[in-house]
This record gives sequence, structure tokens and C-alpha cells, in this order.
Amino acid sequence: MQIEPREHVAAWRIALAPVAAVFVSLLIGSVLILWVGAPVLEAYSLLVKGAVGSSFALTETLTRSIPLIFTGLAATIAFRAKFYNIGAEGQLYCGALAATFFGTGLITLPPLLMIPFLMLVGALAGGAALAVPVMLKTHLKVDEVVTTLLLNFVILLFVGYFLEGPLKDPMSMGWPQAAPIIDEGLFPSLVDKSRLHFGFVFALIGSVLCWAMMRFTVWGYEIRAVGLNTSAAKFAGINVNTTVVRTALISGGLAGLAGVSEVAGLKGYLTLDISPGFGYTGIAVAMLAQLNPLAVILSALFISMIYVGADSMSRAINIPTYIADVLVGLSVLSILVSVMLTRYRVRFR
Amino acid sequence: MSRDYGLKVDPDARVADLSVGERQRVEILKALYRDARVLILDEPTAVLTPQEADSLFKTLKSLTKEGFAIIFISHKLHEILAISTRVEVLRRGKIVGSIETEKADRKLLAEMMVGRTVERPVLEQMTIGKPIVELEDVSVEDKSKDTSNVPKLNQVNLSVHQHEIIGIAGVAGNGQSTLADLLSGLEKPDAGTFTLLGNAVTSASPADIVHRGVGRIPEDRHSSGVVGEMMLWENLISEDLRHAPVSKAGVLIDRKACLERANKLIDAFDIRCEGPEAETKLLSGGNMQKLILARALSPQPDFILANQPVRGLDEGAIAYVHEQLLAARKRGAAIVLISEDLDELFALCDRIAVMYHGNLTQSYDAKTLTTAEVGLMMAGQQSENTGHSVTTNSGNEEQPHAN
Repeated sequence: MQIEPREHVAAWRIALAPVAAVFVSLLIGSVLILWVGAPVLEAYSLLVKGAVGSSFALTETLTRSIPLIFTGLAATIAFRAKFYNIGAEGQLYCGALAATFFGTGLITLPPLLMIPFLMLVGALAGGAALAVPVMLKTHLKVDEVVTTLLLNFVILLFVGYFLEGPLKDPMSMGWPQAAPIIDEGLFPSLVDKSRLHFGFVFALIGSVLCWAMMRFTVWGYEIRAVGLNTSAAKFAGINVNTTVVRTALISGGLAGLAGVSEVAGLKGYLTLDISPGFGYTGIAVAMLAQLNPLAVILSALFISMIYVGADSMSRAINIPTYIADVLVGLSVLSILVSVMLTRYRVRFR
Repeated sequence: MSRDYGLKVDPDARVADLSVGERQRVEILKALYRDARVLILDEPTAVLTPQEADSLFKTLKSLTKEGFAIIFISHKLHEILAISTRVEVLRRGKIVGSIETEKADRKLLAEMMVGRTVERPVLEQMTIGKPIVELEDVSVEDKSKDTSNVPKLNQVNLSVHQHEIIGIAGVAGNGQSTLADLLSGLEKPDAGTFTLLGNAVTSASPADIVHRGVGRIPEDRHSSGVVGEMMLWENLISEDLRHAPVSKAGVLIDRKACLERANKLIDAFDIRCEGPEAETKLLSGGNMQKLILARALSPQPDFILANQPVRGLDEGAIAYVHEQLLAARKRGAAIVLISEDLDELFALCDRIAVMYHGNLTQSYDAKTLTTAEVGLMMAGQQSENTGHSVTTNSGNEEQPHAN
């Protein structure tokens, strides 16, 4: 058996790869569903119904995709520069914390200013959370995977301290949660009688802006060049360290926005469980989207479909909910394999 | 075995302590030890001094007398002519000709290689102008922890004038790449002064040095010359991203203007490609080098650093690169050409200096210098106070034959 690069990669292959990957992962997932003794087709049809089958299901899926789009973009931008930010989870909480700090009465502005203001401070806080790891990388060559990953736990404990102490809502009856965001700072609802909020629009705008930045701007050029060939970028006169720091700040800022939108859009107040690992799932979103900011929207929708659908599937027929995690994991694995197969062919001799 | 085959090595020495020539002997001994009857040598002289190469040739000749068959792959025609009995010429993966060495000469082989007649450029006589680059006692320290491999620069002096090509000879790894890094803005002098067009260069900034009128051709076009996965037009703008017309206000890249420029450069430098939006890694070596030439030379730089500009290219592309350098010299550029190919240096350079262990000799007039003299300097055999003429000062048996 031999693996050799394809001379020419057809466009249909690139487009079809994620679709094929998803299909394969559903196929493998069906083995697991059979294993727990449930009918496969019914399970999957329940999953789809639970994800998009009613307007409630649909709005839930869209709502769940909002933080995933933001964290997916955070991973996409960083990974394009080969800066492996695994800390989106922590940066998300930093953004949420900043929104809570400024948005619970410290400052009051009309909504038209208050919402952008909260997003700004959230993004800055998310970026700031990456400042130390990125400086350690550019100045001391400390591996960012380790620092960003471990910082997640530090930040979570830090948030826990605030929620038990200075930021604890006196009206919370002892629960570790912060005071609610003031009305001026809450994202407007998008669809009546649903949880879908304006954050979805912000996430779409964010995707388009990221795509435009990568494609049309000097910054985007520098990010791509540094990620694809650092020494060539350096030789050409691109300041590699500046580019990496800038990329990290943008990435952290995007992850921070996920936190702002969960607090000010969905929940209304900060708790320690606003994110069931959106930061980590964002990496899967980015991989599934092959690091394309526009494709991040589709891949976030797909993954939130699986999560939301699997919830209702497991309620309807007795299947554990973590089948969703397995499906997401499988689709990321198969996308990686299928991406390889678009660029290389396997020959048996 | 070492004695029998005349391959002198100390069997107790650590390979890391051996010179490249000695390591090669070890490699040959390994093959002989395993009863090899056919030896295949792929560019075996690339890292050898002419003296070491001579001794390798002697070894190979004695091996053929003992009945070994040897395949000797080289792009240096004079070596092929000196060592072989029969020559097979490869072009694009096919054998295009086979000839007895006796009947062959350089011109014929070169023609077979490119499929057409190749004219070596002739160095036009020119008077030099004002100095463009001046290095005075420039040292670059080794900042890495391991001090074993690359010698950095040690009090290097060099001045390059308009209408002048200075060649830097030397065996690979004697500090040429540090000199190249310094001249391309990747390193800064730790001591001494580096003057470019009358102004001192004190910090390491490739962007700054390009902006100040330096065109650079890097040693390895794949790893530092281009971003292979980016498009042709994108690689052509990489050195002036933040200036008009490439970008508006240094923010938005003006794709239309860039494509226009790319099309012009593709025509002007005869880059064979599918168009400006083709992926750069799909280009052949020669066309990729043309792309780098287009990027480096089209702004009409005052100073050009060419580090191994023809490595791995076919004869046609080599001639093209050389023509471009000579045209730049004619227009008034000052050029430093770093090469391991002495023929190239002698064909192109007004003056030649040699690097050895981070030291640079003074530059000598290429017309009065011989390859043997350069070879000795490459091996570090000339002390600093020895004058130019090696023949009069140390005319003894050690002096090799000039080829």
C-alpha cells in the first residue's frame, strides 16, 4: 500500500469531502446505536426531527450554534497562523466575566451603545486572556497548546471565585451566579417565544468579517503566509511575532464574544456552566469547516444539530446522550481522513 | 579496508568530529564493507573542497581498476568529463543521449542537457561606481546553544560597488548563510559597521532592508523564497504588502492591481505558468526562481544578494538567472553572489573572496585568480598575512592541479 500526492485536486473533491465524512461518521455511529439495541433509522430520524423538525427545535439548534460559530472562528483564525489556541473555553469565560462586570449596573448606556460596548469589553477580555500565552510563545518559545489548555482551568477557578465572592448575586439564594445583565445590555430576541437571540446575526456578521479579513486584507495575507511557511514570511519582511500576537488577540476576542453572547443573549446572567465545552467543540467546528470562516457557519449548524437532536433522540428512545459527542468526534476524525484523501491517493500494489 | 582502498580515516574517531570529506570516505567504506560491487554517488562533491574532490576522484579511479562499477551523478560538467568513461544525459526523467567521454566536451554535454546551444555569458568590462555596501569588521555571534555547527561571522570586511559582482566562495557551512542573513536583513551586526548606501544598518529587519533598496535571492527557494500553497501573484507582492499599489492604506489588498502587476512580471520574466492565480508550488524550479527574480529585481534594487541562485536549475534556467544578474550589474547594481560552484563565480564575478570558518578573505581580482588558489583558501590553508599569489609563497607539492 502506498500513499502518493495527487497532482491536481479537483474542486468537487474538496467540496464533497466533508459530506462524505459526515456520511461515514453516521454509518459508524449506527453501529453504536445498534449496539445499545435501538433501531438505527428511527434513531437518526428522531435526531433530525429533534434538531430541525419543529420551529422550536430549529430555533434551539440555531441558538446552540451561536457560541459554536464564535469559538469555531476563534480556532479557525488562530489555526490558520499555526497558533494552536486550545484555550477558547477560558477566553469565552473571560468575555462573559467582562460583560458581567460592566453589564450588571456598573455602566448604563442606551441599548444601541450598551450592546456593542459589552461586546467590545468581552472581546478585549478574551484577547487579554491570550496575551500571556502568546507572549510566552513569541519571546520564550513556550508551546501554546500547553499554556492555553491549562489556562482554561485557571480561568474557570478564577470565575468560580468571582461567582462565590465579589460578583455573587445577593438575590441568588446562595447559588454561585452573578447578578443579571441590565436590560439595556440584553441582546434582543430574533424569533418570538424562542430563545433565539440577536447573537446569531452577530455570529454571521463575524464569519463574513473573518472571511473578508482572510481574503482581502494585508492582515489576512500575513496570517496565511505565517501559517503556511513561517520562514518565507519572515524572509519577505513580514513581522512574524507581530502577526502571531495580532492573530491571537483576534482569536481570543472571538472566543470572548461567545461568552458575551451566552451571558447577554441567552442566559442573562453568568454561571459556571454557561459553556458545556463550547471552546473545545469550537476546534471540531473549525476542523470540520477546514479552517474556512464561511464554512464555520455550516459546520457549527451541523454540530449543534447533532447535539440538540441527540438530546431529544435520547429522550425519545433510550439512547445515552453522549452518542452526540461520539458522532461529533467521528465526524472530525473522518473529515481529517477525507481531507487527506482529497490531496493524496492510496494505491494498493 | 581503509588501507587497502586508500581511504584514509581514523577508525576510532567519532563521525561527528570528521570533516565532510572524511565522512564521505566512511560512507564509501560502508558500501565496500557490505560487498557492494556497484557504487552510486549522487552529487558527491557538493560539499567538498577541490582538493578533497581530487582525492575522491583518485579513489574512484582506483576502485574502477579493481572492477567496481560506478555511477557518478553530477551537474558539474568538468567533473563528469574528468571521472567518467561514458556519459548518459538525463532530461526531464528521460535519457536523451549516451556518449563516450572521450568524444564529449562541455559544450556538447550542455547542449544535450538543455536540448539547445547554451551561450555562457561574457563579463563586460566596466568601471565601478560608488560603494553601495560596506562591511567593516562585522561580527555576528552564535546565539544558539550548540556551538558545534555553523560558524558565524568573525570581523568580516567587504565593500561592493556599483557595476560590480563580488563572488563569495567557500565550502558549505563556513558562515556564508550568516553573511547572507546579514545582507538580507535577517541578522544584525553584533560588532562592526554595516553601511548600506551611506546609512548604517543596525537592526535586523528584512522589510526595512528591502525598502532601502536591496533585492534578495534566498538560498532555498522552497523553504524561504516562496509560500508554495499561495498563488503566484500573492508571492510576487510579499515584500511590499503595506505599500501602494499592492494595498490601499496598508490594509486592503488591491487584488486587481496585483494581478495586473503579476501579469506584467510573468511576461517580463518569462515565468511559464497557468496564470497569476496558479499555485506557486506547481512551478518548476526554474520558473519558481524566475518568480523570485521578478520579485527581487523588478524594483531595480541598488544592491542584490544572490545566494546560490542557480542551485538545482537546468542549464537554460541557469543562463537566464546569470543574464539577469549581469543586466543588473550593467544597470549599476552592486551584487554579492554566494556560490559553491567555482565555475559560476569565475564566469560572473569581478572579484572573489573566500569564506572559511566565519572569516572572509579580502577580495581578489577574478581574472588573476586560479581555482587552485581559491581551493586552498576554501580549505583554510592560507594564513591572513599571505599575499595573493599562492604560487610564489608556498609553491610546493601540495599545490593541486588547476583544472
